[in-house]
Amino acid sequence: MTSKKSQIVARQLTSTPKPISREFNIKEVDTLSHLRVETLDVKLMKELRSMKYKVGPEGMDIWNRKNNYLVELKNTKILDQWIEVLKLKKIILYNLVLPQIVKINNFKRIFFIEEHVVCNIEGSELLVYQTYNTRSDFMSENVDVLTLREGVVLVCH
Amino acid sequence: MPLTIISDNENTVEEKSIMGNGVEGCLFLTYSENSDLQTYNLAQRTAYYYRCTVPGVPGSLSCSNIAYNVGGDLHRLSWMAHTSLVATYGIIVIKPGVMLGIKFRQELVDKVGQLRDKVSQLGSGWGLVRGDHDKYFVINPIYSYVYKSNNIDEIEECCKANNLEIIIDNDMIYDRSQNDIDYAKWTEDDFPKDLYKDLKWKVSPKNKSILRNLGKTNIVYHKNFTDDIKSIVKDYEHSDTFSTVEELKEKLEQYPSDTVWLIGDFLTSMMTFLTTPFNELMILTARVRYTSDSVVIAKLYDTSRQIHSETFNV
Repeated sequence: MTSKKSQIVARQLTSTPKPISREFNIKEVDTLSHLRVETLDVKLMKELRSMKYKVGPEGMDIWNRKNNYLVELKNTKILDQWIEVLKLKKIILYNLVLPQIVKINNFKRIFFIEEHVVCNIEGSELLVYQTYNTRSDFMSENVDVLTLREGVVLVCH
Repeated sequence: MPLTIISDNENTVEEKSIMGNGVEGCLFLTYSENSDLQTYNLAQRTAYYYRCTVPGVPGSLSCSNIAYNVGGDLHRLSWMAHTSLVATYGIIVIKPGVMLGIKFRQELVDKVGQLRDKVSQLGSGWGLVRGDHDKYFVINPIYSYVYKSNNIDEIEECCKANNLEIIIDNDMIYDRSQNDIDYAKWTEDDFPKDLYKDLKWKVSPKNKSILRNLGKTNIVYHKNFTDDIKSIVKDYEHSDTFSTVEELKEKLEQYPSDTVWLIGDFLTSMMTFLTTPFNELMILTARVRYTSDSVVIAKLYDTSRQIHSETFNV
């Protein structure tokens, strides 16, 4: 006599394994991978970090619709998808430390290239110190105006 | 306090703020991004080397500030210097263990002073003065936000991105045999005898009159004062002398209270500084400060006034 538990285990062992997903479409990797990554490609972040010391006080223009990429980047696949999905017009990289101040209007998304960010919320003098997860956190367009004080961020307009 | 400032003189806030208007308007900052205990101790020791070797000009406001820090961010320290020592026109960043001669330091401070008035070829200011090494370099506190890295090559990139001039100074050399504080194992024999051992030290007239009216039982003084205070010693019941660190330690045990200590510049002299382990000197300084019911006349490493015995700086 066999127990119920052993019967279940036996059935699992004898049944033929299903394919991973019959609906799985290989094209998804090329078209929708930004939804899986949530923010940016880690390799792209590494590239952006390596050029952060070259960023001036006005930020560094990374991409705009007219001229395409303005700096040499190798891993732009995910960013390209965000450009299409969010219908972006330009992308700027900022590297700020206090007492620098940059006010950002009408952005569509902000990606954090480094974890530590300091900012003011509009109408407040207080500095907000935040530690973000660069792999999952981002700022979307529902914040009207943002005053950035410190951090390495990629601002998408 | 992240930026620990030690000055040659005790200054009021007003005096500190106008320091940069004098001939010497630089901040000497011994700094490392590594914050381990060993680096901290070496940074502190190096800072006190600069503190000990500042030529004292009585009544003069022009003296360089000296500070040390480990583990901080250069842009943050630079900002602090710019906002608290407002007239500082250059920060000379020095790695722990690097010692620069007095004459060279003066020349460097003068050079940086001249840069303040120079109109840059780029139409903006200067951002960095450096040699071909990273042992010491000069940054401009006005542009504190530019120094986003602690590495000199990355600082150079930051300066370029902000259109600041980078000045390569070939006089800023680093020679380990000359500039490493621990390169030579210093002994007393390395110092000229007429500079420390056989020199006749003198008590200032002000302190002499104080010495006569203190009403203490004992007086212990450095041997170099012997000729100068012969007449004063007679007023005390017991008198004793010392000439080495070991002897001073013994005397501190022997006379725990009711004593006048006439130490002069002995503890901060280069010979004592370089031949005695720094932690030992710090302990000795603390010990001298906290002798009960006693009076100390000495130049000490710490100029804080929060002490329970009376202390006079020479």
